[in-house]
Amino acid sequence: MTSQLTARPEAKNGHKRKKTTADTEEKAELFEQLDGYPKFEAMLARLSAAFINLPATEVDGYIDRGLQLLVEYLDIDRSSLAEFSEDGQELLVKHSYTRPGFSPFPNVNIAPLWPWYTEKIRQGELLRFSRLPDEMPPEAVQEREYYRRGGLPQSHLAIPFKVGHSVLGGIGLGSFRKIYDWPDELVQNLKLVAEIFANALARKRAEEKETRLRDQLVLASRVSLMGELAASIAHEVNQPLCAIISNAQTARRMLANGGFSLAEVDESLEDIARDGQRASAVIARIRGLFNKAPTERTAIDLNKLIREVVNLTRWEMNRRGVLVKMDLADKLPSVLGDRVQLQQVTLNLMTNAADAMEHVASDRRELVIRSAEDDTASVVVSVKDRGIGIDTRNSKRLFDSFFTTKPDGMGMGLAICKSITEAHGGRIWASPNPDGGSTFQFTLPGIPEGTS
Amino acid sequence: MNDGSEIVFVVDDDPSVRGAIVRFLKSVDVRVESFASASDFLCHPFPDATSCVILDLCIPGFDGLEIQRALTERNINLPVVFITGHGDIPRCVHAMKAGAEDFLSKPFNNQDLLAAVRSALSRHRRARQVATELSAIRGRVESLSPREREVMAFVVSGMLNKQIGHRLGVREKTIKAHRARVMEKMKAASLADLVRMAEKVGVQAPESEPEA
Repeated sequence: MTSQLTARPEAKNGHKRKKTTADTEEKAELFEQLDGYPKFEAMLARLSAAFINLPATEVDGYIDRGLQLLVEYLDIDRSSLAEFSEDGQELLVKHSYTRPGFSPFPNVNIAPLWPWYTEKIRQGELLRFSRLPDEMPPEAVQEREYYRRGGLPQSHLAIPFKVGHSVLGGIGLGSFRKIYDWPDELVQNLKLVAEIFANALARKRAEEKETRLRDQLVLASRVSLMGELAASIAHEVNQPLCAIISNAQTARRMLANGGFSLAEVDESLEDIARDGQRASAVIARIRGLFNKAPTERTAIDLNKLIREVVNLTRWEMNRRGVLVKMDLADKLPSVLGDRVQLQQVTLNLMTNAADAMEHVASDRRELVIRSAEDDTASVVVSVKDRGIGIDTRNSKRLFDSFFTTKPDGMGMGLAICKSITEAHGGRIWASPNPDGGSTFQFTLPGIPEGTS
Repeated sequence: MNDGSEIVFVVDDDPSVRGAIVRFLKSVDVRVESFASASDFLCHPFPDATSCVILDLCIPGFDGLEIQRALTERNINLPVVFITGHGDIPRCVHAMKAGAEDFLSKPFNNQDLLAAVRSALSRHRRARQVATELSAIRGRVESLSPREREVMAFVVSGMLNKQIGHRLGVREKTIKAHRARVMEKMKAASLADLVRMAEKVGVQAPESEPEA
């Protein structure tokens, strides 16, 4: 793959070079500006190689570096990359490099400043100016006005980049110190650079979109899960409120009737304050679960997380006649992860287990949630039920999206659990129990002690 | 409000709610014993005292309704005041049918809880009085000789001494003596009193009436 991509610019080059040498003397002269041309080609080859399979998160950094290399190798003063917004209305400067000593290019929306220029880029037209502002056409009214004010490069080249048929944006190069003629050969090579950048950006956009969709799905499924637990949540908040109301009435009675010490009244007030905190903590926890804040990795004590989830589902499980048993390891390494998402996985596995036991005899409705450390220092969390079990024909598709055996199921729960655990560097699987029912478990890599 | 022999049990797994109920009942001079779980409560010896239980309908491990059932099975006729966190109507209906004294939803008013507890206690008090009286009457019936019991049965069925004598083949005078001893042993002030007691413990005239 690498050799293929690096070979392409050379092939095009060779073709162009012949044409150039057959051209006028003037062109040949221009060519001399490119003293380091073979070096530039080598740089291009390295650049394109570096962009192959570049992870989305690193695209920005490599583009910055690439822009700097262009300035250095071409001995120009500024390079920049601008992208159209998703609605195509804005042309935003996302990256730029300016030679030290010149004022840097701010990350602005170019569209309202330079409408003519923006329109040309949008249409995929290449703009090549050697002597500005003279070469700027009269119809570029606003652009001419800008140039009159000064502080802009004498020579400027803008290359739009496309993916498929849509123009994503463009790269711009500018020379302040001297006149630059942008020979065809160079432009061809720069088009390649633009193409490399465009592909990386397109990939990054696609990945970002995928992440965004996935996050939305994760949130939607969490919200629907919380909907199922609404009664349980209401119960969790209602309990402390009930105690608060009763204690307040008792305290008032004590004050009105006399015969009680201030200490007794104070104890009631203390309990009221404590229960107020408790209700508020429940709400904070729930709000966290509805939050669509981006993934945040922190060190997490899975035992604590399990207890919280068990607490949250306690009422619901009780209503459904499910006895929940916890078997938690005394000592468990922390894991690095997003608290809310891991709560979601645990919650999902627990409600699935309860669903699986809906139609079994009530004395069999037992759910055991267990935590342990395995011999690879990973944390294993398992949820065991005594329900209807997994049909072996379905076991392979269990974690697929839209696969469900429930009449009103969406088939997203386990798919999302899988996506979350895998995004955390773990895995999830299911197995039948010898005595009926099934066990779902997931592992997450533990943080080695002393590093958290 | 009472002589200290009456006692209210509180079974709720939530420490805040349990604590609040206990504090309130103590503040109105009610003796309280509280339990965090159904099994703690059921394993606890039930004192011979007027009492009632405040039960959370929904506690883990053991449903409030199941406790109610367990109590009934053990013949412990404690009035139950249910408290519940939500309006689960089918379960409330179920509980009421099974003899719940009252039903309060959380959050409740202390006054409503107290009213429910008082009415539960007075129901239990009455039930205990009835039970005490019954066992006293049964004890007296036990103390009768077989012949006296026979005579008592004929007396409460409205037969005259002469008729009883004829029926049993003894003299009227002998029946009269038996009758006097029955009245004495049964501590009956009048014939009406004896009839009332007989009804309570189900003493009936022997079958095979000659007139039939």
